[in-house]
Amino acid sequence: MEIRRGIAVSPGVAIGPALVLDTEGILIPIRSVSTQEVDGEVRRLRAALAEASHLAQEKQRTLSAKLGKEIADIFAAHAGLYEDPILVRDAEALIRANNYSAEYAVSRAVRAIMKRLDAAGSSPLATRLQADFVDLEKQLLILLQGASGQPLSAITEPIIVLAHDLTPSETAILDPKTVHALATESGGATSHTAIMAGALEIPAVVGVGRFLSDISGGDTVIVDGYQGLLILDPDAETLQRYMELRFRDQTTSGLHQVFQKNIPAETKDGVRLHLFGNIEFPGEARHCLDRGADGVGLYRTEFLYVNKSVDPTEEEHFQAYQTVLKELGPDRPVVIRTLDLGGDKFVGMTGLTHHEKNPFLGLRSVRLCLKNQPMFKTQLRAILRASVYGDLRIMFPMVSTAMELRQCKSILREVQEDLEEARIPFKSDIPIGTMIEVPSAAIMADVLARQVDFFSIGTNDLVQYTLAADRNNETVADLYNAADPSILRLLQTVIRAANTAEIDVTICGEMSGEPMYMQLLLGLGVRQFSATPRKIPELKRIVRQLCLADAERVAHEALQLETAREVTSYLREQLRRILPDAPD
Amino acid sequence: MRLSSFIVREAILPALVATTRDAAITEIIQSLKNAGQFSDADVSDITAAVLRREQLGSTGIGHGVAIPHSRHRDVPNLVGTIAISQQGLAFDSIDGEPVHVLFLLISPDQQPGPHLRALDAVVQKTKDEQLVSKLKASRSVEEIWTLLS
Amino acid sequence: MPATLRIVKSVVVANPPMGLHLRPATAFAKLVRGLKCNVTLSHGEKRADGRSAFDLLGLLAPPGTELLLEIEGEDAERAVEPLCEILTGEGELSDTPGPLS
Repeated sequence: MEIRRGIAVSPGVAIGPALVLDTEGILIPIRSVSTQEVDGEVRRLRAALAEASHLAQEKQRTLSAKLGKEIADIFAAHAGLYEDPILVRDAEALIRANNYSAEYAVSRAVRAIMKRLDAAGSSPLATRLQADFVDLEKQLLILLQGASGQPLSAITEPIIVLAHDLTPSETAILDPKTVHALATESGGATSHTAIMAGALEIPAVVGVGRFLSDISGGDTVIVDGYQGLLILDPDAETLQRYMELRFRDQTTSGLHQVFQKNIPAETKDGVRLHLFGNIEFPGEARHCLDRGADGVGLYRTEFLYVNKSVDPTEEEHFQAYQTVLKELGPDRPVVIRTLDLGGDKFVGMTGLTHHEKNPFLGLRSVRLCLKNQPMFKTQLRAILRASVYGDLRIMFPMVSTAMELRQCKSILREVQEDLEEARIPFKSDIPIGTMIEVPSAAIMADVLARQVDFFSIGTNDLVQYTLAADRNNETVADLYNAADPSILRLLQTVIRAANTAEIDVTICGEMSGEPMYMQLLLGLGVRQFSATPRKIPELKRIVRQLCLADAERVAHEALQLETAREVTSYLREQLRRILPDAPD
Repeated sequence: MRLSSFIVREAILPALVATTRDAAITEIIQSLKNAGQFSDADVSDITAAVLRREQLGSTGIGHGVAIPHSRHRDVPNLVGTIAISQQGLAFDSIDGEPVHVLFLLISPDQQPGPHLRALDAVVQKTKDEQLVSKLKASRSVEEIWTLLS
Repeated sequence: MPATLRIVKSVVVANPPMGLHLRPATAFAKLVRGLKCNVTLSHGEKRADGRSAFDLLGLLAPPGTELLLEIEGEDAERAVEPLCEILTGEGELSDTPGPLS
């Protein structure tokens, strides 16, 4: 068993056979055959080796004339490898000893050799040889499988896709029914793979570092999308543990979402809360409805920029928004957040941002929109046009001053006037909100509250900016903590300001998907939560165990504490009081 | 995976006699044994394994359904069956409700795949609220079998 | 008639820039397979069967590596020179298959 650590980008647990994907198609050897088939597999192996050697020699002959002997000789060398007695012996032994398929045996034998090279540390020679062996394996698998292997869309058995990285066209055809998880060697929290896995709701771990040479298609692997682990060849005990974890996951998320869908998110003492879903892709609107969400509390629109070299058109924006609004219908609000590009999101993809020394304190989000008004106006036009299809609301992200908010609203008014002139219909009374995710905005919440119809507190950025700590920087990540008393005080300030001005306030950061914070936030005066759709059933279950009076007491007590650690342990204890089976 | 591919029809119990969780699990495993799925010698071992699994955390998944399960080295194939308790069993379920519908699954130690897929199939099936209430109201093997296939 | 002949010789790998890479390794193995003798190349603890290019490549011997060549068997004497020649070759202009591979 080997445990590899990567970045957890989409939660959940999956267990299954690995499908190892490379850039030129897939290699999906079946792992084992029956005892009667063993001789046949050995014959297939020998035939493939002979054929590969023959093809390499052919290539040598034809290329010799064209490119000269030097280069053509490479193929003579390849031909020699296919006849190598050790490769033949090892692969045959694997078939006979373990009933492996010829494909699996080739893959194992070649990878065993590669692993030996790996163990010697990296050198130019080792790197070159690795590449040659990967190619050799590929040639043999192609011969064994005929053509170029199975296309990704033809998979019918559940598998876990392992790859160096996934191209957008590959992720686009992943079917969550068969692809149960993803793990990639490269990639970060905002990589394409990460975003797609989140949208498809399949567990994913990225940035694992090199592991493909240690695994063959068909091996059992576990992807732990909670802790960011990829477990190769799990031992019995680990397998058992993860099977139980998966069962628990599946039944809590599975059954609750179905049976709780139509009951309201109401506390024991009758306070009705609203649980909204955070989404990124139009297709996720359905996930919100399936979970009985009261609407979409945060519709991120940056996805339109993924893998684009030019800005999306107004029509592309419009189509996406219209789809979501129609899906949610007239009675469920959809809060569209205007573009939040920059920082770590899609930098360099659009050519919008030039190099900055400190992008998180730089030209990102609404600041970028205010500097690039044509882009901003294109989106606002599309949003306004879509407003006639449902209960749409607009929200500006990363606002740090009252001045910025005024600018946003005045640009919005300009766009409205343009549409009026062009006689294009839109709703004139669209609620306008601002995100509170910069400490300056939180401190000035009472002023901002007079300018908008709602607040949405983005706790991820609020925590990062308040504590000046990047949670992806492991040396300071422990400072990044939503339970820090400073955050509690800022939340109290913002929520009070909203309640005084009688405007709605939603929590939409990761904090709102954390069961531990539900009581605290309810007690502080929050009545609306927006979280990733799959959290909604669990949150509803918790809401239905809460009492407002208790929650207010918890909030009051928590505000007296001095450290994040005290707050965390207090909130956990309070959660366990109402939900004895709550995980830590 | 189709439920009928691993649910042993002969072992279906439309009216459990047992009135406690442990007795019910014992009764269902006995029924699978009587249907020829396990040898006499394995029954106590398998029962102990399923009960041990319940100790780790209830398999009562709410809304009157439980899926007690375990893997066992001496079982050649994945098998399961379904039992109905008319009066309901205290099961320490996630929602505290008594359990009326029990799916019991036993699979070979060596194959996580079929076990996981069978669990998926059962969970998928139990998402159909109407089906679950029909199962609760079933009184015969025939009725239950028709609902499952 | 001499009994089995055994020759042990130290060779410094040349073949710039990569050393004992694909082509020399496969050529070496191919030659050995056509001879009546057992050939072992070793580098410190690591030993490789001369008949297998995979084994030889596993030595990871860049130019300048000192290897121990052991030949035992009927053909030992006439094998020494060509085997050493392969290991101490002048290398290649280009060791890359190029875009058409």
